[in-house]
Amino acid sequence: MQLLIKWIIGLSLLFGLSALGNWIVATLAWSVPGNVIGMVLLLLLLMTKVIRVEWIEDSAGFLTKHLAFFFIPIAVGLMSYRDLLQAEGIPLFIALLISLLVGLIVTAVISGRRGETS
Amino acid sequence: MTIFWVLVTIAVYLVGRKLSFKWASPFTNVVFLSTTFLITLLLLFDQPYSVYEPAKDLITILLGPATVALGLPLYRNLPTLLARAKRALSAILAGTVSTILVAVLVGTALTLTDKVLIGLSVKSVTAPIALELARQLQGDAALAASITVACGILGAMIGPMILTIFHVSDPFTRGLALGTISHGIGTAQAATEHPLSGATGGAAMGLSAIFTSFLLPYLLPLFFSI
Repeated sequence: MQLLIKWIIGLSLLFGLSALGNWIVATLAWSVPGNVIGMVLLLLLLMTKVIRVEWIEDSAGFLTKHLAFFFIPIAVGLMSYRDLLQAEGIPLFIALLISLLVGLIVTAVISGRRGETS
Repeated sequence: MTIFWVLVTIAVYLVGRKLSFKWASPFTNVVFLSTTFLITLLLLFDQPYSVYEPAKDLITILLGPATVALGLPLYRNLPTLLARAKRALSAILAGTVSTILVAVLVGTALTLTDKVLIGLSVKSVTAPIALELARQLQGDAALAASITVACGILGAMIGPMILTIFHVSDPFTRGLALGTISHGIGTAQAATEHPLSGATGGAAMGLSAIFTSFLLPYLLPLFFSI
């Protein structure tokens, strides 16, 4: 029972912050994603102890653990671009691959420490 | 029918997850496996994407709260993050800008059409943001979201391997790189490696999304007229 209440509180807070983030972005006409603002808000509320870790750790832990799941349905959307992918799929793949490689290496090199010391 | 497809997606995901733990390889990435299976299933039964779309709309309602939830690992690893904040910020900014520039340059050289190029330019941010950005840039929003997800999957598949080849073993840096380049899917992959990687991935995906949102309107006109 206590667990259920914790889940309800946790999910409500996460949903609420996501909605609040979207609202802030829409109201201020920012080109920043609302979810990211929600994430920053959660961080701030945790730092100021307004929200306690215990309230959200179950639900937030579950959602981040299964974050990959939520992208699957969006990825299935690729199937509606069959014609386009047939025409431009290979150059698109090459552009993705090279930019990925460059981006990863640039980020890692500038981040500095690469050895096993975190 | 919507509930049916939601359940199928959950089942496929759970099996894919098991497989990805049992045989760790780029091709057993859970998003890649599950997506391939679902598309094959739909094609096999001659179903268009519109049949599946309501299930997508239902599932992605949780994507917002799930992204917000990344604030928790961020909070837990805040001391580590702050200790290396300057380096981390520069790395995320450089990674974001370089991957966009290279993608658009290579794309232009390979004569991709403008709508695919716009999709490519937003590829490193997370899908709901890509949708929004592409709309602002007058691109094809759904296409941009798909390219973004493809970029995420590709990064989650081969990113860890590339980092290992280049001897990047520090969990902080691995998460940072994967989150910067492959947003939520890269972060999800990073989180399976190390909790710290998940946290830096979450921070990186948030910051790279912010950087992209601010910079793209200035970067894109350099390449083509929009």
